[in-house]
Parts: sequence; structure tokens; C-alpha cells
Amino acid sequence: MPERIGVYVCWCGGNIADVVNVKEVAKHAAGVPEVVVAKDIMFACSDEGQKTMVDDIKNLKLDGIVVASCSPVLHEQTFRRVAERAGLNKYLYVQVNIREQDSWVHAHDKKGATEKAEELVGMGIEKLARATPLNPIKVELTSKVLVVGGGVSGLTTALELAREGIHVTLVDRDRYLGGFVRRLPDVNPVHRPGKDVIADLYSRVVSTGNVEILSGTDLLEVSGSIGHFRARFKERSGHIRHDADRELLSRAERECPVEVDNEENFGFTRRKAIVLPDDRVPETPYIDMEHCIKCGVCQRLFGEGVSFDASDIEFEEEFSMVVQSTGFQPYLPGRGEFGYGETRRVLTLPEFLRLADTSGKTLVFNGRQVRDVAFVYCVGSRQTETGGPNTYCSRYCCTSTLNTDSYIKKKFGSSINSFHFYRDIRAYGLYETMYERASREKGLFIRYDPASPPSVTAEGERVKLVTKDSLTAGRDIEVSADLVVLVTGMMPSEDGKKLSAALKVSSSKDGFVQELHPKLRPVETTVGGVLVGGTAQGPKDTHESMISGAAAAAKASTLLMKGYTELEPYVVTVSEQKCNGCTQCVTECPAGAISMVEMEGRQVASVNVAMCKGCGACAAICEPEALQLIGYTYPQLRAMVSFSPQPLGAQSK
Amino acid sequence: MAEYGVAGKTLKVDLDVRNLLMDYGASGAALCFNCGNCTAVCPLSENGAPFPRSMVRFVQLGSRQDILHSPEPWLCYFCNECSATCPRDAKPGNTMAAARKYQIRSATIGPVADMLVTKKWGIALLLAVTSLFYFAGLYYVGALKLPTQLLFQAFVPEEVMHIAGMVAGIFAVAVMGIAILRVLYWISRGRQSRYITISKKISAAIRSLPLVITEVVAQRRMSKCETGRPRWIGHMMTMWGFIGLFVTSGLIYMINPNLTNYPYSFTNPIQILANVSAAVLITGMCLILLDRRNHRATTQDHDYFDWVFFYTIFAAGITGLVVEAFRFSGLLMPTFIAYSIHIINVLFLIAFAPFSKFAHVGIRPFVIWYSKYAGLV
Ligand SMILES: Cc1cc2nc3c(=O)[nH]c(=O)nc-3n(C[C@H](O)[C@H](O)[C@H](O)COP(=O)(O)OP(=O)(O)OC[C@H]3O[C@@H](n4cnc5c(N)ncnc54)[C@H](O)[C@@H]3O)c2cc1C
Ligand code: SF4
Ligand code: SF4
Repeated sequence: MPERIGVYVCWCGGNIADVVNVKEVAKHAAGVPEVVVAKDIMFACSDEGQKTMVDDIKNLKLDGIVVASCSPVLHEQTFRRVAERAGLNKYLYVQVNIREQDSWVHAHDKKGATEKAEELVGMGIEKLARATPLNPIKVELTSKVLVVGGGVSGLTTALELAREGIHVTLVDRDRYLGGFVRRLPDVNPVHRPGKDVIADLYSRVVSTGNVEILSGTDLLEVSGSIGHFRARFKERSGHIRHDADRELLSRAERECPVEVDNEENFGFTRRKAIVLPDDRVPETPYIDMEHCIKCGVCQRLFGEGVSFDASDIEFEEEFSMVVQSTGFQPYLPGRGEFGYGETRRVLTLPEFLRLADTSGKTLVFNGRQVRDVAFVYCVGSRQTETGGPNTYCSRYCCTSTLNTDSYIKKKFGSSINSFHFYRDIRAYGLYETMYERASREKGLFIRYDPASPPSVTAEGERVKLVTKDSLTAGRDIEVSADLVVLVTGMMPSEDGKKLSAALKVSSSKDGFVQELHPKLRPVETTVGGVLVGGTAQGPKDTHESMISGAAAAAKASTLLMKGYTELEPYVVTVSEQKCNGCTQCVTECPAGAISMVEMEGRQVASVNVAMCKGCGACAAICEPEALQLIGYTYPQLRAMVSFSPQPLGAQSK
Repeated sequence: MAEYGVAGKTLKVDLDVRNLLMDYGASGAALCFNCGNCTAVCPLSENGAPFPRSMVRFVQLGSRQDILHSPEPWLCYFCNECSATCPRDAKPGNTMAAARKYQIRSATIGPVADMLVTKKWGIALLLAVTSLFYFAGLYYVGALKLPTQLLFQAFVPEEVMHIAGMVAGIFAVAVMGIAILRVLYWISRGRQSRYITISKKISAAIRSLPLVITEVVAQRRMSKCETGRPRWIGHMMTMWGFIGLFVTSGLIYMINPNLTNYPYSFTNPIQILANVSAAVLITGMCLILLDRRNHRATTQDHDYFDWVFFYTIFAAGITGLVVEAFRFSGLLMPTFIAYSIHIINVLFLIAFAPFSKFAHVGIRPFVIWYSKYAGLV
């Protein structure tokens, strides 16, 4: 334990010294018995400042240093390296924050701030005087990553990792990959069908030879920590050979007597119980056993190739990292929200896109040709004024709606009239041209106020919309349309939320996965080894989703290439002798790192150090003090709490 | 927020009206994103009647009611400063012109007006109708024959001139009168006057008159168009030249129906007035032409409707001069032919004035008067 301590009080230019009397603080610290040297430094983080400390450690044979400066977030690493360079264990250094926690908040009370700094520095010395040298925990990483979700972002992550030679398992509960993009008839700004975009991406992923694709597979369970995530899968049987003959398949489809609504198209089309991939990937057919009546038509065609009672396969695998690319789900309006569910002629944008894609040369709904389409923007987004839960902007929707307008005019002719009931057009960046194009194509823009959103009522075979238009002096504007399309926002997917819960990953208040820091540590989550890509993190368009998917791959490979990772040694240790088996710590641990194990015939707590976040929640409630948080031991904390500053001069050296 | 349009009423969007207006020249209106720059730079827009953005918006929405019930189209003099400023190149000036055409069309007989607004062969058809009417009259009195004498009454008998002139004139005055009344009615229903109480009504109506007179005499509003000095002078000259010719024709017609002692000598006061008026008219129109050439960027906005109006007046003036020249040279046939063309042209000009851009001569002063009376300007 350190007995020759150096204390350095930083001026931070004027940031600290203008308020705190740093010389006084240093002088005060010098009065503590273990302190060999105490100095004030203009900029501790500068080259000169660092050199002073290194020289002191070497020349005065210091065995620990305290730096009183800014927040450890900024310079903890800097000063740890100082200690290391001088040959000192880097955990024998304590940083005291007298800027954010003192000078910046007490500028009005210089005397008080100086006294506070003296106290904080004193506590730091007490803590250091009871510290032991520590070493970071090293975790080996094998090159195996689990990517959950096979939308554009998951596919991109898989592709980029596989290109680096890292083995990827890509799991999607859907039988076909591509997430939402698969169902887009015209992806802005490339103006290609989403299916094609996905097929391209898919063939690239496959050609790496490094990706195991588990589509139509449920991720039943996932647990563990960086280096050691265990996942249990259930691969649902398709009940028909993957490589069944194309022609026979088409015949089977024709002859299958069961017809149900096709969920891929929100029921605008019908499908058989035997389902063909139909340009989707992977190109595997399946039999929908929920609706199949086992009539045997297909069995006659395929013989052994069809098996009605083939069972699902469950298996487990281990991964060193997990990327969550579980995407989004579109907001579903409540009954009566802008007439949804009350009037058949009110659809959501995802529904409308399927209607348009599956229509022939004319746009027909319910047997009537559609000429006038009214879009209502920001449904389920930006609900601050309306009291709804989703206060964020879903970002993709303005542009996609403008694009949809152009798409339907391209497909069904310019006789289609479009009305845009919007709040603000947030067609950012180059997407501005989409707005320009939509207005050139005579789209009519009507700006509604969230305080009085458009009313939507059925009028025979048409729908009437009325709103106060702020571009027309707040007058009531009435539009009669064939169809109303609600531009619904993005919400985190329910399955995604379940996965986050299982992985103990924190979410923001919107329910999307939270990044550790939006600028300093994007795509990292609050759990080491778990990364997030695409819309699972927040609303994005395809391009942005792919960028973030690629970023997650880059982040994962920096760790995997090294082959190991180092974790902070601030974890909890158990004294099995003291543990009384009360299990309170198990419920208290937010990271799920503690479990009960049997030892000499009784239950005692056991800590998975790779999962432990070092928060100390367990140690704080452990009555017999069986749990000790390394770096914040009971003796250290007691000494810090009971430290009381002596008035200067009252101390005897 | 300034009040405009038929405030308080639900506005029903009608894209057929919007499409018609776009055909009428407001094709850029769909591009407008309602920034209001145009209204901000317009030297004629006032708080009580802000434009052109308001009108662009009504056109986008296809609000028949609001377009018809607005005085704004007549308060605009097409200086086109708005179009030069518009960040979207939405040509709000053209939209104002389209709104005027739409009011003219709605206040008169739509299909006839369309001939002069959008149907490019319409002018030929209407000229043919006029000629037919004219030759039929000649045939009816047995005067459809080649002339033998260089005498106007020998070309066209007095009663034919008389009847043709009367028919064209009465038709024009009736249509124009009804149009004026309709436009005034619409506008008065669109916006209630804001400060006038019953007792003040009469005096306010009278107090609004001087403005109309200065407006008609000196086109004060047009002179406010910053870019348009030459245009303003050209317009003034054209108008006064036209009035001069109109007055001399009327005078001759009244004083000397049989055209004895005709042609007058050059020193005859009536002849002097006629010649000076013709010169002023033609100079004015040349000035306008020149100005349009100098502002090519905006001249391209002058459409069929506009050129029809320009050329019929121009042609009336030029053919008049040509007739005079031929007659002094004693050329019989050329004088006869030029004279026939001149008469048909003038008849056309009179009869279809209310359907053409000429309608502004009748409607604009009344709308300005009403707008002043209602406290809008
Ligand atoms: C109506 C509409 C129109 C759009 N138009 C455009 C456009 O024109 N241009 C554009 O750039 N963007 C557009 N977008 C946005 C685009 O769809 C998204 O950016 C993109 O889908 C996001 O991809 P992703 O991979 O993040 O998520 P998703 O596409 O949602 O994919 C997520 C995948 O994860 C799977 N999954 C989820 N949870 C689990 C789990 N627990 N286990 C296994 N698998 C799971 C899902 O089955 C799904 O396949 C549009 C969006 C909508 C709603
Ligand atoms: S992108 Fe546009 S429609 Fe979507 S929430 Fe934002 S503002 Fe509303
Ligand atoms: S300046 Fe152009 S875009 Fe702006 S309001 Fe006027 S017409 Fe519209």
C-alpha cells in the first residue's frame, strides 16, 4: 500500500485556479503524513505537466499519485499512462475532480470551493493509501459473432465482418431476409425494388463463405458476457426440401387447395399453404402448417421431400460478441386515430406501399379506381403536443412519402392527385430534391398544426379531410380523397426489446437501444461485447442503417483482430466464508452477474467477472460484507468517509 | 395575419380549378413553397390586400371562391418583380395574370373568353366570325361589290357602318357592364369593409373617387413598379393615343355622319387630333415592345392572351395609318382593302373587348375604387 504519495493540483489555466486556491490546496495536502510531495501545476495534462509527474515518481520513489483536476472521463487514461511510464502500477493513481464537481459549480464561493477541494483531495489520498496494485482482466476473444436480425443493417454487419475473415452467424426469425426493405417497391434514392437490393446484398454475404444464415429461426435464449455469449436457437422446419424442383413447386402451389391472406402484403393478395420464395432470399419454400390441411397434394408431387411432421431443431452455440440489428416496427395507429380502423379507406404507409406494389396498371382499392390520395404525416411521431408516447421524429418518413408520391405517379400515371398534410417537411440533405420533385408533379402541400390535426371522416366511397392550414391564414381546408395514407413512424421492435432485456442492454426512454455515447462511443451499448446497428438504435433510412451496420462491424473487428479484450479490474469478489446465502445480491445486480453456486454443501454467491460492471450495488447491501468491490473496498470507503480536514497549521508533521 | 380571401369559410380544394388556372398561365404555382418573398418585394401589395403569395396559394388549392372574390388580381400591374425574386421560380406574376383571366372568363362567357386565353386558333375563329358578320351586312344592303370611287361611303354604306358599330358596341358595353357588376359583387362578398359604417358609406364612396381618377389618368400604381419606367410611359402613351383615336372617331361619327368634305385637310383640328393620337399610340406601343425586348427574362411571360391584345390594338392603329396613306396617294384598291381590314379589326376590337385583356380598362378602375372604399388599399 502506498506510503510515498505525490499530489498534483491542477490550475487548468483559470478554470480551476480562478475559483479554488490551488496553492493552498497543495499546501494542505502536503500536511498529510503519507504525502511526500504536493504541487500545483498549470496544466497537468500538458507534456510539461506529465513530465513533472514522471520525474517526481522516479526521483522521489513515489509509490502512488493523486491528480486533482478535471473529470476522469477526460484524462483518467492520460494519467494512468503517466504512472505506467514511470514504472508505477497504473491503478495506484487516483483522480480527484475539482473542476466539474467544484470550481465550475461554486464560482460564487471561492473560500468554500477551496475547502471542498481540500476535502476531496484528502479523501483521494486516504483512498490511495489503502489501494493495492491491480491488473486489468484479460478476456480471450474467438472470431465468432452472432448478428441478430437480417435486415439491411444486419446483412451489412455480417458482410463486413465476414470480409475480415470473422465467422458470423446471422439469425432472423423471418423465413426471408431483408427486414422491411424487402417489401419496399421503390427504395429511395436508388429507385430499385427493395427485393433486388436485398438479393444483391444477400449474394455478397453468401459469397464470403463465412456466414451461417439461420433464417426462420427463433433465438430462444441468450446469456453470458463478452467472449462467452451462449445462444439457444430453434430452427423452424419448412416441411419441404430446400432444393425442391422449381416447376414442381409452381404446380404444387397451383394445386394446393388452401388459400389465406398473404401477410407479406397485408392481405391485399392471397397465398396458398405452400409458400414459394417469389424472389425473396434465401430461396427456400415452406409449408405453413398453421393452415395446411395435410390433403397430400404436394406430398404426391414430392414424395419424401415433404414431411408434415418434421420437427424443429434446437441447438446452442457460443459467440464472443453479439450485434443487435433487430430493426424497427411501424407504428400502428389506434382505432379511430385519423379514422384508422373505422374507415377502410384509411391505410398506413407500409400498407399502402404493398397495395401499390401488388396493383396492376391502375391503382385499385376495394374495386374502385384510386385517383386522389391524401397523406397525413407524423402519425405516431413527434407526439409532444398530442400527448402520445413517441416524441421523436422518425426521420425516414417525410422523404419516403415524397418518394412514394413520385413512385405512384410513375407507375399509375400523373392523373393521380396527391395531397400532403404535413407539419414540417424534413427532407434533409439531398432529399430536398424529393420535395422539389413532388411539388413539380403537382403534389399539394397543406400544413397542419399539431394542436388541430386533420379530421378524417368517411363520405360514401370517399374520405373527407378537414384541417386548419397555416399557409392559408389558418383557414379550414377541405379535401376529398379516395384513400388516406397515414405516414406512420418507427418504433423499436417488440422482439428487439426482448433481446435487449435478455442481454441487459439499456434502452433510451423511447425504447430504442442506447448507444454508450452518441459521439464518443457510437454503436457500443452499455454491455461490453454487445453492439447495435441499424434502426434498433433509432429511426434511420436504409443508407443510414447500412452505415451503422458497417460501423458495428468495424468496432467488432478492432476487438476481434486483437484476439482479446481487457476489462477494468473493478469487480466484486466473494468471500465464501462470510456469505450467508441470502441471495439478495442476485436480485440487486443489474447486470445479472451474480448467481448462487453450491460450495461445501451450502449455497454461496458467485460472480461472473466478465459481466460485473463494478457498480457495487451488491456490496452495498451485503450485510456480512462478503462482497468486496476491488478498488472500492470497505476500508477504503470508510477511510474516505471519515476523513476530516484539519485546519492548516493544526497538523503536526 | 392579414385577412385575405373569403375568411371564415371552409375552403374546398378543387384541383380541376387549379389545373385550369395552371393552363391559364399559372403553371409555376405548384412549385411555390409559400415563403412569401414575392409579397415582401411587391411594391403594390398592401396590408389590407397582400399578394401575390395569397393568390398563388388559392390557385394551388383551386379555390374558385377565393380567386373570384379577391380584388388582388386587379391591384397587380404585372411588374414581375415577384417572379424575379421567387426562390422556386414559381412565377407568381404569371399566377396573378392567370387569376385576372380567370375572373374575366368567369364574369363573361367562358367559352368565348377561352378562345382568347388558351385556344391559340381562337383569334382566327373570332376574326372570321367578325368578317362574316361584316360581309353579310354588306351583302344584305347590296353593297358587296368592288369600289369604283375613292370614297369611304362608297366602300361601306353609312347604314352598315352604323348598324355594325351599334351592334358591336352595345354587345361590348353590355358584356363589360355585367362583368364589372359581377366582379364588384364577388369582391364585396369576399371581404367586408373594415371601417365603414352605414352613415359613412356614401361619403366614403365619394372620397374614394379621386384615387380612381388619378389612377386612370396617370396610372399612379403602375408607376410604382420599380423596374418599369419605360413600360409605364409606353402604357400611358398607348392609352392616351387610343382614347384620342376613339374620341376623334366618335366626333367624326357625330358631327359628320355622311362624311361630307372627307377626307379632312391636314390642318383640320379633328384631323390633327387623329394624327397626333395615332402617332402617340404607335410610339407608345413601340416603347412597350422595346421594353419587352430589354426584359427578355420577363417578356417570355407574356403569353398568347397578352399578345392578342397587343397586336389587335397595334393592327388597328397601323391599318388606320395605312388607309390614310393610300388614300392620299389616290390608290383605289389598296385603300379599299386596307380600309376593310381596318374596319373588321376595329369591330373585332370593340366586340370582344370584354373577353380580352381589354377588359381591364373596364374592370380595374372599379375594383380600385371598391378597394379604396372598403379600406383595403
Ligand atoms: C413505409 C416505409 C418506407 C420506407 N422507405 C424507404 C426508402 O424509400 N428509402 C430508404 O432508404 N429507407 C426507407 N425506409 C426505411 C427502411 O425500411 C429502414 O431504414 C430499414 O428497414 C432498416 O433496416 P434494419 O436492418 O435496421 O431493420 P429492419 O428492416 O426492421 O430489419 C430487422 C430484421 O430483424 C429481424 N428481427 C427482429 N428481432 C429479431 C429477433 N429477436 N430475432 C431474430 N430476428 C429478429 C426482423 O425479422 C427483420 O428481418 C422505409 C421505411 C418504411 C416503414
Ligand atoms: S420525418 Fe417527417 S413525417 Fe416523419 S416524423 Fe419526422 S417530420 Fe414527421
Ligand atoms: S416567392 Fe415564390 S415560392 Fe415564395 S411565396 Fe412567392 S411564389 Fe411562392
